[in-house]
Amino acid sequence: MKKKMKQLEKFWDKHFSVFVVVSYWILGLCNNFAYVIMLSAAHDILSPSNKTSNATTPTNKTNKYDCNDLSTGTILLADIIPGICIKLVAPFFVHKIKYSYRVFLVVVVNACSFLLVALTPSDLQWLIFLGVCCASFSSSFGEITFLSLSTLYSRKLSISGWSSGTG
Amino acid sequence: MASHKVILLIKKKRAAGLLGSFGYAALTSIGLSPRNTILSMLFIPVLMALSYIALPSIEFAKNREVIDDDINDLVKQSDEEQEEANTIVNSLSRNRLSTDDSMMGAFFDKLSLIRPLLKYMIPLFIVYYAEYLINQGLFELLYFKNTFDHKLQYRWYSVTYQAAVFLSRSSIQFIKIKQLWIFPVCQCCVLAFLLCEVFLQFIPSIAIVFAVIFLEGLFGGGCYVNAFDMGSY
Repeated sequence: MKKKMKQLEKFWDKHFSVFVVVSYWILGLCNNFAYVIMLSAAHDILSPSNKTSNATTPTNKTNKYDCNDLSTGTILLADIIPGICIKLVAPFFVHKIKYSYRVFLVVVVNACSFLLVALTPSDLQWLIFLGVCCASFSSSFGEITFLSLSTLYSRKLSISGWSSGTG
Repeated sequence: MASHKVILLIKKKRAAGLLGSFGYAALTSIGLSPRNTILSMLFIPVLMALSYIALPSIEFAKNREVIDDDINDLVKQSDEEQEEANTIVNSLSRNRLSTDDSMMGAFFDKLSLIRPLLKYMIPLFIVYYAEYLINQGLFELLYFKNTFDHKLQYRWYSVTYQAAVFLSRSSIQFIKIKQLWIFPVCQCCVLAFLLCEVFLQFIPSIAIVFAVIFLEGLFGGGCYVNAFDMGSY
């Protein structure tokens, strides 16, 4: 067991820069994915018609804009406000939580956001908005976590990987 | 040597926004319903977990000596990424210091730091305000009845916008624009133009709207990248 750990550590030592840059690039990419997907899918999320089909919906003849009840701007609000709140509040207590727990939270909440948005029927709109809030929370909390983790991994490597992935 | 090449390859890809919106539009165009497309994106949290696990363990990183090779390994970062990295690093260290000082003192210190940056923040604010107003307010109202489905129109507007932002953010090595005021002015013109279109509906073809949205993305990305570039000197 100790021998394997030493081998692993030697491997890490040799390829440290590659591991850090690649991992942080992927983390930067994945972190903002949910946020972007929610914005791109906003119109579909809010439309009252059946989300399970991709068929062309009959055009709404009385309404020349063919618009939904709620504007896609509401999705933007739900996508941003939780993120801002958590970024304001988190630095005060987040250092008490271990990194692995934080990353676990980010991953689980991110997965929940996709599940909530995809699987809720269109009439439970509050639940859909909860999904979008989860995406926002996981993106912001993930950003806080990974950026503070980057101080351990030779900042110049990790942050350049992160900013490349996030774009 | 292999690590140098890998790092160079990776550095030049800034694509979260573009990949996300293009992936969504492409998958729904193929025929997947929106619900199944979003479900298929569940690989993202998994990938995040895996890449966190792939990072060397925290104890190892703490014990490891900071070797200069790591930093030299990064063959010349592009100026913009270097400055972005430095700004983030500096703001992180400032944040850590402020939790030690008294809250009010640190708050006023931070406010005074903002003053010289206002000339970059105000154009950026205006550009982003107009951009988000167009993207989230006007895209769904720019509905052309004779062309493809409304939902498709919204998705492809988003993709065009993201592609333009990606292009303009990568352009900093070729074009540097020092007069930042150009961007808010142009972006507000685009906003006014699209607002008129929503109310008056005078544009005959959807291709014109795609072109205008592409311009909007170029202005937005250009302002961001030039403001960053100017602000880091």
